[in-house]
Amino acid sequence: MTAATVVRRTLAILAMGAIVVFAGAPFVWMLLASFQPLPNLLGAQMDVFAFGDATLDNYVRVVTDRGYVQWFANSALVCVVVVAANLVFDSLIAYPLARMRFAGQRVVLLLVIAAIMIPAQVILVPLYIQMRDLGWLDSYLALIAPYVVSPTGIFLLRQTFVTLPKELDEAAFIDGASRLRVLWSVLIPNSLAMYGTLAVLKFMWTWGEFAWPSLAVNSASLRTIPVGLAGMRSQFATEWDLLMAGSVLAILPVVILFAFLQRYFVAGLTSGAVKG
Amino acid sequence: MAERRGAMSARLRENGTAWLFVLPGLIPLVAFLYWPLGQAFGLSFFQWNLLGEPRFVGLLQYERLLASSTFHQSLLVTLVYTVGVSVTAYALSLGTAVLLNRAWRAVRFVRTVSLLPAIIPMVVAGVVWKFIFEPTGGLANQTLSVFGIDGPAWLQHPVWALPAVMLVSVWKDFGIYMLVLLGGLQGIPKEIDEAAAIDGANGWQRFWRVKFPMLGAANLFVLVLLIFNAFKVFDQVWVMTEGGPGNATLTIITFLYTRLLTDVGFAAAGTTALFLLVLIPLTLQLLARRKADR
Repeated sequence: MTAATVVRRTLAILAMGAIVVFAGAPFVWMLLASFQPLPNLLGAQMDVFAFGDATLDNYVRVVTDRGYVQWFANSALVCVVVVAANLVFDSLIAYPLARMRFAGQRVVLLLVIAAIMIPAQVILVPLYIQMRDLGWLDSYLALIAPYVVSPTGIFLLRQTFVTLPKELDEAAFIDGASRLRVLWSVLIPNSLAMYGTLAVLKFMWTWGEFAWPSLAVNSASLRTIPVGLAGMRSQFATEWDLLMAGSVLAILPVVILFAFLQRYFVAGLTSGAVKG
Repeated sequence: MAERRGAMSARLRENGTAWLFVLPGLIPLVAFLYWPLGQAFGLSFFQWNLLGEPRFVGLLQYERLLASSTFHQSLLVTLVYTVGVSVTAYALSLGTAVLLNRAWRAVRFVRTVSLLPAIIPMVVAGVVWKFIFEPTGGLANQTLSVFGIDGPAWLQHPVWALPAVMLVSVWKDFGIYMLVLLGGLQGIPKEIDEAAAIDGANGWQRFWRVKFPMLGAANLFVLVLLIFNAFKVFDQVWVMTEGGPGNATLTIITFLYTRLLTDVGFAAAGTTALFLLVLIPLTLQLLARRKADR
């Protein structure tokens, strides 16, 4: 190994170390802080490394005093329903777009693709008015309805279905299968990787959704985790102990999923880089 | 004749079946996306505070928008934010992608850690970084003090608040862009690189003259995404500064957010303007792609 190679390798290792520190340090800092009593998190006394003072008290209090269990349950319910609805509705639209020829097909495909580009922020006001007129404001319906179908999801599934050989469908048709049957027992089982990607992506997005849920619900009992956390921040500006414990709990589900399903996250983050 | 009628009815049946599949998903898509989008445009010609009847005012809201110095400020902030975040995040993600484009075992670990920020809710990122930016004792200023630098009160400082917010956005998403660029780099055949090496090109030349130009599609995709996402930034700003201090971090959506429900027409005009802005990077991408196809 020449001296130049050694230098280059050392530099690469240092650079990788710097990236790991940059990306990871905030997580470590948050985790350490979440176990510290409030006085250790304020101003000049700040000391997240005071392991002698470490306590689970922050977690106990954020769960018992601040309605965290309710927020967590709300977020989980919304996410599960949204992901399930997406897998169904997105598949149903993707199927004829990939496999059939029908009047209006181009228009539907165009509507789906163009929808990926519409920033959610643009429709906040009219969505609020619409939900108010429907009487859905301040209910689970307002938190769920706008997310039940995903243009990104439809598009990704359609692209996946198109790559599957048509002979698979035809063999099933000869056996007398209906179109729904073909979708269910031929196309879906052959696209499971994309379904995993889609479920993970949609879960991650819905779990983090903030602007709309904070407009859509007023009752404390309907808050999702991001809405609840943001509310704590403005109400009790310096309760860093509870905020850090709450933040750790908020990222736990996505981090656990990420640990087990990293492959799907990687696929999802690249193919679904435009949120929609 | 009968045969043709049979074919016709088969076609009709096929159409019917297709629409039965399409409708359950298309209805919510139109109802909760396209209908509100049209409404947003329509409402921008009215004056309304959600109570009483909306009053038609023609282009008044757009005139108000153009005359509003706060809106000008939000445009400027958004522009600075967009340029700053795009350049920084792009440089960091490209650098990381090049660094990780090798067969080391550590690569997987570095990639995983780089992606962690991308998967968490933006609100959590905002809360945690607000804590990191605490003037005394925060991680940012503690780190700086190691180098003998006395860091500012980041989020309360008229000059430093915006860069601080921008840093959070870079931290949050650079992993995604890195992933896209890394995919692009890994798609370049090894032979091309080897051929350039045989011709005597050094590593630097091989990257900028050979590999970088071949990243074309990935580069464009990342840049368009960066700009697209930057124009509509909201969550992290709202959580960390609410647009302050003194409008120093007031991005377009942060500005409009407080007026969404009180000055509906004005907010609608603002979001329509934002929508037009967002179309710029998307149009650029379309044009570039058409040029590439030719």
